[in-house]
Amino acid sequence: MSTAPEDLLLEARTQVADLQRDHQAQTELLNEASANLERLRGEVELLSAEIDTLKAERDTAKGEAAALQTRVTELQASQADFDKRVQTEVARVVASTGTTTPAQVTPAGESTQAADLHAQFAAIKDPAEQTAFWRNLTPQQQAIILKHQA
Amino acid sequence: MSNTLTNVKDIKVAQRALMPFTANLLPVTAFSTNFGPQQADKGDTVRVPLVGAPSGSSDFAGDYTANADSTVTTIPVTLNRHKFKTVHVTAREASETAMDVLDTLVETAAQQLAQDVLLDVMSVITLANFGGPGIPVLAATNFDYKKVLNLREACGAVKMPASPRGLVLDSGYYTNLLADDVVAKSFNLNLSAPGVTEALIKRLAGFDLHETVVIPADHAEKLVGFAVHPSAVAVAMRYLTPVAEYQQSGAVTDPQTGMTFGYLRFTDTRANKVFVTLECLYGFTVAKTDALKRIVKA
Repeated sequence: MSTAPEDLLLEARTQVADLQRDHQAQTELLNEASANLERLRGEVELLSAEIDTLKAERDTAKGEAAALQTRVTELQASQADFDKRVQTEVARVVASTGTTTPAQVTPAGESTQAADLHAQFAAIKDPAEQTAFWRNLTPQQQAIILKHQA
Repeated sequence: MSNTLTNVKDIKVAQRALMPFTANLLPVTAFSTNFGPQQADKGDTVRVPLVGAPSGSSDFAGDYTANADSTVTTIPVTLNRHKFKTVHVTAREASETAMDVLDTLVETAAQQLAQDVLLDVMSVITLANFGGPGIPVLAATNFDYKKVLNLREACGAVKMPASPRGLVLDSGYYTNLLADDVVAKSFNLNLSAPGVTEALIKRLAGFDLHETVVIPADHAEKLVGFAVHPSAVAVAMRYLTPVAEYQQSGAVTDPQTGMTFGYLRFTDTRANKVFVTLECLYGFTVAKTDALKRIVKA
């Protein structure tokens, strides 16, 4: 039995309506995807700009670091030169006084002096000389000897 | 046995004490002295060179060695005096105060020891040894520059050598001299400046001046001072050799005058006390009786 033309028409219209609805949905999805694509393109452009900025800052920092390293090298060279000049000057002063003994300087700054003073003190066997020696010491030297003995 | 201290802490204490000891004994330097740190025992004799006028010059008679005056007159002095002062510090005293207690105590002891020694030496200055006073008896308020000149006149009258001469005065008489216009208003700043600012008169009318506070107010012979040439009295001082073993012992000597005291430190461990003794071995004797003029009060 064959289908009536009216039924066929109705079925065709239904199919058309479904297809139109599907088309509408696909169109909306496509529009939404296009909008997302545009937004992402914008973000990519922003990120690209930030990358360019960061690259520029990195290059600047590299330049500054190189300049500072150069400065450090120069200062180290200058310090070495200063030390050398101080040593030369000290040697000249010592030579001008006729002193042959090196300066009595220790990391503590005083132990050698205290030991020397104490030794000189111990070597004195005359009470009058002992008094004269003690009176010639500065209060700081007296304190150093006392500290050394303690 | 060495006669020097070896512990620096003791040396510090002793050296601080030496200052008042020397200062208070300074009037003794107006006499002939032989002071030193050499070891001696009580009863030993020390020869003290007498400072005096040399003998007269000779007329040249072909030989420069005639009447040579190379022998120094000395006078034997027996070390028969021995005074000492002992101080001590307990652990509690040391812990309860921030100041160095021992330093202060020893310093005070040295001052007292010196004053006692000086007073003892001046015990020879009597009417019997040196005769009547150089100037009439007077009160401190009447003692002035003119009286010093009167004393000078009295010294000259007995041919006392003009130099060196000393004038030792009780504090009241010395103070009154400070008020004399000759001193206080002198154009000579060497005289007036230290006199006004420091109450110090170094020299006046040819005398080296010394102030003393040791003469007691009730002195038996009313002594208040004296003008002196060194040949009047000979004084000797030495370091008494300690018999026992001490933790520290030694002589403490002033290099300028030779004044010496002995320093002994010992400990009582049961009582937790540290003792320090200062002692002085010395002797003195009258030498030339016309080389000192006493000053007495009414």
